[in-house]
Order: sequence, then structure tokens, then C-alpha cells
Amino acid sequence: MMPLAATAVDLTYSWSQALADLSQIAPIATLTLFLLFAIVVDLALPKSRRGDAVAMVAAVGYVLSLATAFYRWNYGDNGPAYQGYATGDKFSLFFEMLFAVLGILTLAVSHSYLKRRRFVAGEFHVLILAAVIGMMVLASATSLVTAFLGLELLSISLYIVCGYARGETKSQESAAKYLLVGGFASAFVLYGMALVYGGTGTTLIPDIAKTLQASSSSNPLILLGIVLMGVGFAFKISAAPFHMWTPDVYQGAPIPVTAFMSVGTKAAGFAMVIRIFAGGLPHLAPEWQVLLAFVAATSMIVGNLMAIVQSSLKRLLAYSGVAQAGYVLIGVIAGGQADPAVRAAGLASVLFYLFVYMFMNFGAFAVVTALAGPEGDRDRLSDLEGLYRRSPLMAILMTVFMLSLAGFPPFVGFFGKLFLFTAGVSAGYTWLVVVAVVMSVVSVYYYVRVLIPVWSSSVRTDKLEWSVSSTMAIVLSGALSLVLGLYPTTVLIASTLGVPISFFGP
Amino acid sequence: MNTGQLALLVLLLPAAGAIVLAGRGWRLPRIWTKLVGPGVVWASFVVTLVLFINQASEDVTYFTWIKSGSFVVPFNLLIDNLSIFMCLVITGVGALIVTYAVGYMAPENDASYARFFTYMDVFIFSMLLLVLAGNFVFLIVGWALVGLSSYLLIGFWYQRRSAVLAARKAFVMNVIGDVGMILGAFVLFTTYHSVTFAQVFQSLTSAPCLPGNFCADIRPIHDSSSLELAAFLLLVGAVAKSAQLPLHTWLPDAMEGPTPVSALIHAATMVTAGVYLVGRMHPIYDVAVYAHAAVAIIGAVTALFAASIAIVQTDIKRVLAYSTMSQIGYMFLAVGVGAYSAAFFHLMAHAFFKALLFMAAGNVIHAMHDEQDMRKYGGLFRQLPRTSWSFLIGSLSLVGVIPFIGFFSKEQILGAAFSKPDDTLSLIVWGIGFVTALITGFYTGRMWWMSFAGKPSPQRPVEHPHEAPPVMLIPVMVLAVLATVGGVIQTRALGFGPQAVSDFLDTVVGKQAWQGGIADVVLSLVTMILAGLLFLAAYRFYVERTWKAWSTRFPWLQTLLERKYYFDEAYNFAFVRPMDAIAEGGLTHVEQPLIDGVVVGTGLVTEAGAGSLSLTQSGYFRNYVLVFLAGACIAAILILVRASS
Repeated sequence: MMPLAATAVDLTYSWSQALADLSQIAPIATLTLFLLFAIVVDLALPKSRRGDAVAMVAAVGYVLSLATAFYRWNYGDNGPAYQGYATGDKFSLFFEMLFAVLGILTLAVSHSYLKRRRFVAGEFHVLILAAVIGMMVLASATSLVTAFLGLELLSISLYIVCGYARGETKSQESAAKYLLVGGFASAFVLYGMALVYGGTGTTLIPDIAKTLQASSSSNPLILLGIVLMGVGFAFKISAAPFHMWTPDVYQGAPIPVTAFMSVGTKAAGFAMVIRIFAGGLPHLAPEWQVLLAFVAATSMIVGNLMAIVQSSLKRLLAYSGVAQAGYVLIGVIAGGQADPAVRAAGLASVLFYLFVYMFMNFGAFAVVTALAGPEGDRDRLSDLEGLYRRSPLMAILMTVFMLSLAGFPPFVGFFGKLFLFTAGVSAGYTWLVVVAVVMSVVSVYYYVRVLIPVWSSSVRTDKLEWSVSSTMAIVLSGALSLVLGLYPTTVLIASTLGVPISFFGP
Repeated sequence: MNTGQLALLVLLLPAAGAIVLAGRGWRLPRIWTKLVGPGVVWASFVVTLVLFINQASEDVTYFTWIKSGSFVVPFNLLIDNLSIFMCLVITGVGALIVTYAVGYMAPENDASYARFFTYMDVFIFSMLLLVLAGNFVFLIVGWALVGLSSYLLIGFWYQRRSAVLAARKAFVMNVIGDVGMILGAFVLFTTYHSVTFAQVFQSLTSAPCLPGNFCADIRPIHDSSSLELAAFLLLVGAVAKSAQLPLHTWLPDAMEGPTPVSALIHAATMVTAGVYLVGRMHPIYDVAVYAHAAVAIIGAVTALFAASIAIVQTDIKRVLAYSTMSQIGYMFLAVGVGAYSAAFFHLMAHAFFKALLFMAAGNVIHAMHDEQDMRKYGGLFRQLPRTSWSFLIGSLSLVGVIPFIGFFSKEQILGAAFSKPDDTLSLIVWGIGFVTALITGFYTGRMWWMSFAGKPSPQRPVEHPHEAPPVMLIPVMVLAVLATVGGVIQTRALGFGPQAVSDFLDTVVGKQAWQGGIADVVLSLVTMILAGLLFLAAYRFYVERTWKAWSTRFPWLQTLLERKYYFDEAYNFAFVRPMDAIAEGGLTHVEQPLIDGVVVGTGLVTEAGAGSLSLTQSGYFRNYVLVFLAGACIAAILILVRASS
């Protein structure tokens, strides 16, 4: 192990270097710029016009960030930045595009919701912007320190928006709970990182991999670090048995926040798991694979069984999210195998699934968002009664989302699961895949349960308010859930490209 | 149009109907529902006829769905004689039944009416997808979708608790089957690296597998245990879908659905999907001899088992449900001994006469204002002559009396089992089938005489019932005609004459390897005479009551049959109650404390204002952390054990 003092830091930092570094994190930089602009707008404009103006700024920010990421994906010279603390590789760009799209979807759905419930819109959009930036930082972090920075930026913004419905005790409850348990989990992650740093002498993920490759014996410090970090990550992706917060927090938070969290936190968490475990600790793969296999099996069983008995759609989708995290973990486990082909297949299947999961899960939540009235969210299953007579389009889209989540072909969820499961089998985790298949057949039961009120002929008189933007977001999600299912190859190729070569060992 | 486009049209017409009805059906005048609902099925039938006349035979790949390394899923439909045959039965009988439903469902309000036809069209689409599938992915989709539409239709009257419970039971049983199917397909995929039927079958044999001659003549080059495993797993799917032992308990309960549903899904089409599956997968079953034998045994045992229960049922639809299980048992028996085309002939015959019986029973139920208890009927023959005659034709066909179609199809199966050379198992299943045929005669007689003969029961809800309207009578009569004269297309059971169905299907499922002799024909006639006599004997038991009822002599047997051999009780004890206990425990010990915690916590938050402190004291947060820490400890132990070993 090298003494710390020997790694002398080069203190000269030229303008060209600064520009090069900045261009590597261009999507994040762009969005940060718009975040600052949004804050200024929120302060400067008269109260009546703030909300719309901030939304406008945020929209432009997301679109530009997406465009930057897309440009860099195609033409960028992708590599490490800031002396290895961050990177602009395709893996991070893939997630940055995902988060930018998520930001746009959230904006489209939440704006009308905030107006309907008479919430202050400006701050909300600013906080969501900050959370998206946190997620992006997490995805492009190649150092434990940067990863933790992103994690906290994301978490703290979310603690606040969870309690955004200030008048509702449920929402406050949700925020307080998330804060407490989230702090607990952050402590776990930080302690784990500290132990790994203690064991390897560096926080840079590629260097950790190199150090571990050189040392042959397994270091108990690092093993304990893996346990602590793994537990913290499992919390973020809401995998059982670290999922207990999920249903309560999802239920209490305003629906657009729930929708955003259910997709965003999960994707960001997985980006971190892959980056640190598959990228930094490939030589200890058997160790963390055991941990993740345990978590995956528990998640699939607990999530699916608990979802069956729920009567609140938010809680049902929360448990469904727990189960889905279990499926995705199968891909991560396959991503720890030594065989590069299996590895690539596993990690690509994770990226694929997270991307398509965004559309189907967000879409489902977005439909519930539109059901909300001025007095609060309407998320009981009975609130969906007769949806097909109130809005046939939404009923059809809800059916698409549920069938896709259940894994029915030709919807995209089927292919997501198919890729994950085949990767799991080729990695030799057949028992886990059998559990997954059995449990995903069980899951059909509760996804279909949602559809029964949707297509029942009794009708509720609650008024539905579809804003143009939220309708567009839902239609887009639904269309993609179907179209990507008919042509799954496109995203699959992108996912394969998103798995960096650097993951296959130095 | 070429074959591929026509096949797509067959498939998409019902889907289009469903979409139209789902989107606008309840807003349009009812006449549109009446036209679109059955109309698309008729149109689909016509297109299928065109395919039939063209003698289409092709494995059409529309485009490559996924290509990821060696994993290729084509978007393909398999059009050959077997799938066309199945499509003809599904759309033909389906169209008649959906037309009948126009009258049967008339009392429903507009929204329910449109919903019913939406579900029916979805079902027809799913069933067609199941039989047209050229790869396991589509097969599984069709398989799952028919289960789904069956679930929705059983629970159509969701205000009734019994209907919802029956739907749930059917769903659970079907899910067990689906898991078997998926795992079976997975085993085949991991063994042969392909999901298309063509490639999987090709891997089994050295002879070329072409759509027109779909591995009919199989010379296996593999004899692996994974094939047996796959065949058994697929059999789980087939058994669940076709309500065979031991996954049969859902079918009688499924009679909670509207009668046209029982006729279409739980008699004529969906429940025969298991037979289709074994027939379609025959290259696998021909090699996997143990699984193949299991098919025959399950079929024979179910046939006898269900027929014996049918003797004591009093609900007319339940008698028919058990009879359906029993008849599908015959089909399983036939595919199990390798008499594939005989099985499919019986499948068609059964679709005719059982749909006929269900729809005629529906007419009776309508006339009796939804009373289904046969003991409360009696003497309907004079008042409902057309329905009664149709029911009689269906009954005689079920019993297997010349010249009705049921005689030719059932006796061909029994003959094939009896004459299969050097096979003790076939002889045993023939024996069971023979006894079943006699029991069938008895319970069918009981049903017929109790309902239609004798004096009206004093408990009859309607004094002067009215015959059903034409829209409900004409489909019944069409099927009555088919059940009467349909047998002439295949008279192999008599040892001579045409055999159109076998000729048509042999190219796909293979020619039956052996020929029956004169002994078969004699036995067939003996079976028919004995079954016919028992049919008549039922009159003495249940109408004249001159013979002492057997149930008073053997009360224990009566109880055993009435309790359906205690299957429901056993399942309740072994699975339902433990599962309930677990779910209950999960709710009371895990969820409930948390939710209660929320309530308690909420109060504290509002009171104290200092949220975090009171929250940590309110109990539920402690639970979170407890579980969290327990999980972390398990994780740590797992890793440390792994590292130290």
C-alpha cells in the first residue's frame, strides 16, 4: 500500500484542463446552471408568475442537458475528469439521459398537479432539479467521495419534497421518516466507504480495483465495508429487508414525488451499485454476489407477497418496486462474473431494465396523479373504478403499464425481464431465476387486480383533470412501453454500449 | 393476400372488435355491440375457411423480434393443418356461441353488455394466438391471456361473492400451470437454444421438419432427461388449463360465469388447450416416454373420477362441467397412447355436442329464471320442445350412440387404446375408459330424465316457461345438426368409411402407427349398447323410482362423491389455510404495527411539533431499524461465512 503523502497532488490547473473537465460533465454543468437560474427567477419575478417561469426554465434545462448528453454520447471524447473523481463515460451518459428524461416527465406531470392542489410550484421544481443533479453526479462519480456527494444531494432534496404537502400530516410523516431512515442508511454507506478506503488507501474506484487485484488475501476490513455499503445501497434501491420505509414514504409523499422517487432513486442506486461493486470490486465479486443474491431473493418474495394484500395503489406500487429491485439485482449479480460476455449481458440487461422501467412505472404513477383532487391524492384501488368510461385512453394506457410491469409480451417489461433472467441463468444463478419466474407469475395477480376496477362498469363521479402536458407524458410513456417492446433491440444496443470497457478489469 | 396476411387477419379481427368495444362500446347504441361482438368472430371464421380451402401450410416470420447474440425471437405464426383445424373449431363454434350470447346477455345493462363482448373477443383473440403461435413466447402469451380472459369472464358478475371466489380459484390454478409452462419452455430453451417450435423440433430429429410435415415422422436423435423434465413441466401447464387431476378443482366452480362463457371457454375451446399442447409438442412426447405415459394415466383417471362425481351433482351446469372434465380425460388418454388424430376428432366432436348441451342448458336456465337445480325442473319436454330435442341429441352424442358424432369420436379413442399392440398401459387405460363410458351413459340419463321427463317439480319457479328467442335457438339447432350428421366425416370406429379428420391432421401429428381389428368394432357396439341401457335405466331410478336408489344402499359412496373425493377440503387444509395464516400473520405482525405506528406517530408529530424525537419513541421507527439491523447482520454473516470457508 502506498503512503498517502507520496501521491503528490499536482496543484497546477490550467484553463484548458478546466474546460476539458467541465466538458466531461457537461450535462451536469448545464443543469446546474439552470438550477441557479431557476433560483434567481424564483426570487426575482412577482409571485403570480414565478411557478410557470421556473417550470419553463427547468424544462429548457432538462432538454438542453439531454441534448448535451446525447451529443456527447455520439461525438464526445469520453473519459475521466477532475483527476479521476468523475467521468463522462457512456455509462454515466446513459444514466444522465435517463435522469433528464425523468426530469421532463416529472415536470410535465407535476406542474398541473401542484396547481390543482395549490402548492407553491417554484421551489418544488428547483428541488427536483437539485435531486436530478444529485442523481447525475452519482452516475458519473468514479470516487467514493463524489458518489457520497451525489447521494446526499439527491437524498436531501427528496427529504424536503416528500414533505411538500405541508398541510398534510401524512406527508410530513413521510418526510420525517425518510429523513431518519435515510440518515441511518447514509451512515452505513459512509462507514462502509471509510472501511474500503482504510483497506485500500484510495477512494478512486479504478484504483481500488487495481489495489485489490494486486493483493491476494481477502481483507476483513473490505469485506465489512462491502456489507455496510451493500446494506446502504439496498436501502436506496428499496430492496428487502431494507425496504420498510418504501410503502410508508411512497404513500405519504405527493404522487409526483412518489413517481419520481420510485424510478429515479432506484436507477441512481443501481448506477452506484454497478459503479462501485462491478467497477471497483470485481475481484471480490463472489462476496458481494452472495449478499446481493440474498437481498434479491428476499425482495422478490417479500415484495410480491406483500403487494397482493394492498388496497392503496401507492403502497401496491411500492411493494411492486421492491420486487422489481429484486429482479434487477439478478442482472447486477450476473455483472460480477469473470466471463466478459456474461458480465456485459448482465450489466446491459440492468441498464435496459432501468430505462424501460422508468416509462412503465412512471406512467402508472402518472395516471394516479391525474386522479388527484384539490383535497388530496386519490390512490385507493376503488378510486380507479370505471376509469374506462371516464377516459378510455387512460384506461388503455393503465392496462399497458400494468401488463408491462407484469411482464406480458409484447410490452417492454417482458423483454426487460427476459434479458435479466437469461443473464442470470448464464451466470449460473438458476435457482434465483426460478424464484424470479415463480414470483413474477404471482405478481400477475396484483397487477391484474388494479385493472379490474379500471374496466368495471360502475363509475365514480370524481372529476378528472388532464392537463395537456401530463397527458402527453403519460401517452409518451405508454407508447414507448409498447414500441420498445416491439423493437427492443434499439435500447438493448444502447445499454450494451453503456457498459464501459473499464469494468472488465484493468 | 398471401397466407401470412390472412393468418394475421384471422388473429387481428377479434382483437380489433375488442378494441372498438372497449373504447366506445358502452356509448354506442346496443345494436353496434350486437353486430361487432359476434361479427368479428364470423369474419375471422370466414378468413380461416379461406386458409383451409387454400390448403395453407407455412411458418410465416413477419420480422425478427429480438436479436441479441445467439438469442433470436422471430415474430412468427405457424400455419399448418393442426392450427387451421383448431382455428376452425374456435372461430366456428365460437361464432355460434357469441351469437347466442347476444340473446342470453340481453338483460344486462349497456355497459355490462359491451364489457361482456369485449372480454369474449379478447378471449377469441388469445385462443387463436395460442394455436397459431410458432414459438414458445407467443404460446405462453396466448396461454396466459386465455387464463386472464377466463378469469375476467368467470368473475363477470363481480357483485356475487361466489363468482369472485371462483374466478380467483381458477386464476390460482392457472398460475400454477403457467409456471410449469414457462419453466418447461425455459428448459427447452436452455437445452436447444431456440424458442421456435421449428428449431426445437428440428434439434430432436434427423429428418427434416417442415411446416407441412411437422416432424410427423420423428426419429429421435436425443434421449435426454432434460426432455423428460421439459415434457413433465409442460404437462403441468396442460393439466391446469384442461382441469385434469390434480389441478381440476377450478372448473366446476367456473360455472359461476355466464352460460355462454361456460359453453365457449369451459367446454369447447380453452379447456382443450392442454390437448392441443400435447399434440403440438408430440415430437417431444414421442421421445419423453414417461411423461407421455403420465398423460395417458392422468387422462384415464380423470375421466373416471369426474364421471363418477357427475352422478351426484344436482346443478345442471355442474353435471356438464364434470362431464367436460371426463371427456377431456378421454382426449388426454388418446394423446397419451399416441392416437393424436383420434384425440383431435373427439376435441371437435366434443366442442359440438358440449357447446350444444351448455347452450340448451342455458335456454332452460333462462326459461326457469336462473334456477340451475335439476331437481326443481321436471316435465320440460312438452313446454320447451325445441330445446329438449336439442338437449337429447347432445346427450345421446355424449353417451356415444350411433349415428351421433360422439359415438364415432369416443369409440375411435377406445378402439385405438384397445388395439395398440404390445402395450399393457394402453389396455389398462382402455379398461378405465370403458367403465367411464358406462357411467357416462348413466349420469347423462339421470340429467336428461330429471330435467325433461316426468311431472313438473312442485318447486319449479316457473309454471309455464317460454321457449328461447330465435337468436338463442338457431345456434343450438345448428350444433344439433352438426352433432347428428357430423360423424359421417370419420367413421373409423366402425372399421370402414371415410376418415377426413385423420387424413387432414396426419401430416402434422403423424399417422397412428397401428390399425384396429374387428374386435374393436364389436367392443364399440357392446360399449354403446351397455351405455345406452344405463341411459334408459336412469329413468327407472330417477323418474319412476321403481328401482331403489343406489344412494340409499351405499350412503358412504354418495357422501364421498358429493364431497368430490374431498379434494377441496384437502387443498384447503394443505395450502389455503397455511397461506392464509402466513398472509394474516404478515398483516397483523408486520404491516399493522407499522400502520398503527403511523397513526400514533402522526398524533405525536402534531402535538409535539418536534417530529423526529417523538417519532423515534413511537415504536414503529424502532421496528424499521430492527429489521434493518437484522438484515445487515444476516448479510454480514453470509459474507463472513463465505469468506472463511
